[in-house]
Amino acid sequence: MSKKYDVIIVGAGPAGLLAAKAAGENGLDVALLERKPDPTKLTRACGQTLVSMNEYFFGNLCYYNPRDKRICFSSTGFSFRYDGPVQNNYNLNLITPKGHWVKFGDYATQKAKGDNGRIGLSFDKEALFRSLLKECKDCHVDVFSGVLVDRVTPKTDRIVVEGSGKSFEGTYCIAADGCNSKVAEVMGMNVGRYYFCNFIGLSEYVSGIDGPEPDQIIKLYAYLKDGSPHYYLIPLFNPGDFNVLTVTVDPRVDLAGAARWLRESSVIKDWFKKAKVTRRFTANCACYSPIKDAYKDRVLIAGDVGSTQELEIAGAMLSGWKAGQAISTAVRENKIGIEVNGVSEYTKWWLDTYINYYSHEAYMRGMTLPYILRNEDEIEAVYGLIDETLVPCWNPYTGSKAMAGAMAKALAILEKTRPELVQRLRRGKESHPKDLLAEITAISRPPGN
Amino acid sequence: MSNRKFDVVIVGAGPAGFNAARAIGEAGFSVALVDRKKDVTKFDRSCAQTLVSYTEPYMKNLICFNQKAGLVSFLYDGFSVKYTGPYRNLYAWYFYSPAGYPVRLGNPEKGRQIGDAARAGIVIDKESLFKDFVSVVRPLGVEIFTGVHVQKVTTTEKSASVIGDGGEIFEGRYVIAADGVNSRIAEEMGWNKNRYYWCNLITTSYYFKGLKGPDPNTIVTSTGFLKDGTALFFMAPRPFEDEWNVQFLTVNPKVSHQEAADFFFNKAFTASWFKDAKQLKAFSRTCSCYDPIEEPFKDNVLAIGDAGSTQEIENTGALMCGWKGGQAVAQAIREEQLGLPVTGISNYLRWWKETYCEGYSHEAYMKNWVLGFVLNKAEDMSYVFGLVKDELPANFNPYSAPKMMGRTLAALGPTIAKERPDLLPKMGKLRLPLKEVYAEVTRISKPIVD
Repeated sequence: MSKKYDVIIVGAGPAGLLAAKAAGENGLDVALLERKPDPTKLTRACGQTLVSMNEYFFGNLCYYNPRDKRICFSSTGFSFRYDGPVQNNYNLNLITPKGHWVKFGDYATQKAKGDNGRIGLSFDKEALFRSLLKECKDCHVDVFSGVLVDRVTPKTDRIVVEGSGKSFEGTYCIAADGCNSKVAEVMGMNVGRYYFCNFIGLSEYVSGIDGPEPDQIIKLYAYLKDGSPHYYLIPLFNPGDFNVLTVTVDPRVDLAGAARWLRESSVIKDWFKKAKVTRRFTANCACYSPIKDAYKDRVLIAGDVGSTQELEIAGAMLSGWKAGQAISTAVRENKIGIEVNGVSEYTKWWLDTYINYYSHEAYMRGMTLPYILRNEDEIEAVYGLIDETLVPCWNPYTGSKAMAGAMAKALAILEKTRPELVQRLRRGKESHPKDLLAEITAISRPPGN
Repeated sequence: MSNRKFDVVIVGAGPAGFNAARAIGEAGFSVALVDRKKDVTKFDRSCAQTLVSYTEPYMKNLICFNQKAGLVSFLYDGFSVKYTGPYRNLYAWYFYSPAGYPVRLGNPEKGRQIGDAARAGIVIDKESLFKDFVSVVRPLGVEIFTGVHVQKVTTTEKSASVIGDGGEIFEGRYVIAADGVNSRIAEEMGWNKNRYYWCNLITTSYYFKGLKGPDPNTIVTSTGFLKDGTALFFMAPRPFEDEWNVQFLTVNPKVSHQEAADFFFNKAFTASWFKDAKQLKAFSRTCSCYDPIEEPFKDNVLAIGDAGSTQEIENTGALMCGWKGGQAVAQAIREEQLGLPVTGISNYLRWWKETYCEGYSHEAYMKNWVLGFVLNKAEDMSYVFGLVKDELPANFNPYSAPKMMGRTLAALGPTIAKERPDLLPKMGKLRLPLKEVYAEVTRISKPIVD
């Protein structure tokens, strides 16, 4: 065993990279381990957007400064360079299976405000990886790629992290290895978490889509023979191209078939006449209830490790950066022999921010719609009544709140025409997502990773 | 007469102003950084040029220097400042009695053995810090205007402007006053009217080469008893080989700095150090000591750093204020642009109040200069210091080090009561309200404005 690091960070995604950058800048000896042979390559489906650019999200106003090409987190007060391409997203449109649009924000109004009107920002995750890896190397972070960590052994004064025939020793470990975290699993941190289902996704880069504006987001629900997927068309960083995501929690859904259905049979099929798919990725991410205590035996978690993928990329960046700061503080406090608060400050923040302030239940509820409104007609009957333009947002929490408000009005009308739907929606609202997703949970199993 | 518009106009390119410019620049806003010096990388004032308190938290931060990457990190707030210039570790602070006996906070030999983990602070070269700042803010589009001595501030509902001595006008959505201890802007904004004024801190500073004797990693202070009162001797190594920064600090305007220099260079126990020394440079500085401004924001003008709180903030605190103030203003502008409630400034003001007005005691800082009024005879001070045999922990925090000294001296009470009961009434003065102790000096002092 060679060098002893101050911190070993597992996973070079947004959380791990920012943790490494923070710790490296603070002078720690940092090892960053990534399982991909090339850490600059994206190999999984991802929306590649920063959500919630027009309102506070996890306590910050996330902002992109185009002049200096920096992504900024206003309240926490950190920023970093991202010199890849970007694309503003001005509104979100939910399209029912029969073609009714529910708009979150008016496209023209938002676009007229320019950068201040954007609700989200698409970026190129590979360019982000390149930018952040460069910043990490500038502050002397040792990056090891092709290392799939599968063993973590805490000792009294250090921790040993092993994988792919390599072994690393550190004072602390930051687990940033994503939603199906191996580190969390082997550390027993998943014990006691409720397992809901998997969130399964296919991402396709599609060029030549003719229909939506190149800077608006489309969401669409579908009911297919084998289950219910939903879709996102998110502007890609290449102008005019879209990231078409087919996602579901139902393991019976054939994603490739579902993606084909969108292009060939859906209400928006005409948009795809000249479309061409240029890249394809998949992802399969376990949805658990969040880890409440973010620290155990020298391991601190950041990003999706502890909280499904609900953190979004902005949340992963924020928690990664905070975790890097927390470990830097703890290492420093240890060195000068004062009371160690770094880690507990972080775990407190984690609890306040991710567990107490934002509701995981609300997040999971967002996936339950197909199990309440069970076919095209039913969703049409409800969403078809929403004509008002809702608040401009690309924030899963604000969005569902706005939707709930709009639904309340729709329900008043439906009370007379479809009382059975109203009853079901009311019951759905009162039920825990656990119960609503029970049939899916029964047929799902967390991915082995 | 020119009128230029920016998102933010910052007056003063010191540690606070530069760091504010950087924070706002990184957030993507346009910044004018206005300074009265012709060359902002030059430094020509008395300053210890230290970054304090690496052994304990300071102003709600834990500071560490990462020389490998050339960054000074502020761990609790989570920002770093580029510093690639020369530095020297400080392992100890010696409070010498007039007779030349040191009360020791820390041990330089042990410190050198342990290395960086034992440093209580570092000395830097402020010109290098400024050069690094210029290299950071220039690529962010921060426009630096030199040779502009701001004289006036005007405000409207949604802007503020500063006017230079040549009539130049710089207008911003916000103005940040980072113009230091004798802030012209604070005066113009009327903020000094309700502040308690203590006195002036008058400093003369010399750079020397070739001193023989003092330890190169230790801060030295001592007190000189002169014709009209006492002068504090403060000596720090410079980050350059064999160079020293020697300062005389007085709060009593009657005390002659010439006499202080003559005393310490030629007569005191320090004289042998200076025998073959070569004087390189000399500067001086007078700074008004007020209580902090409790609410340093009005009409789109925000005062940060020493502009709001004497020089007690230290370089370290000024960097924090700059960072926080810059973030606050950037956040406020962003919130306005998005049509959200504006919280940026009020967050800063809360932090300022908690940190500088309530969290730390301004009186504790003013205590730094008062020992000479109390133990007002050289032999008395030498006697009391001589009773302190133990080495105290290394500390380079201008608030807690004097407190530690105070506690140590107070613990000598029983011994003094037995051996020198005549000293007890004098020592008791340390428990009087500090304003009373200062009263005479306050009466004969007058604040100045740059």
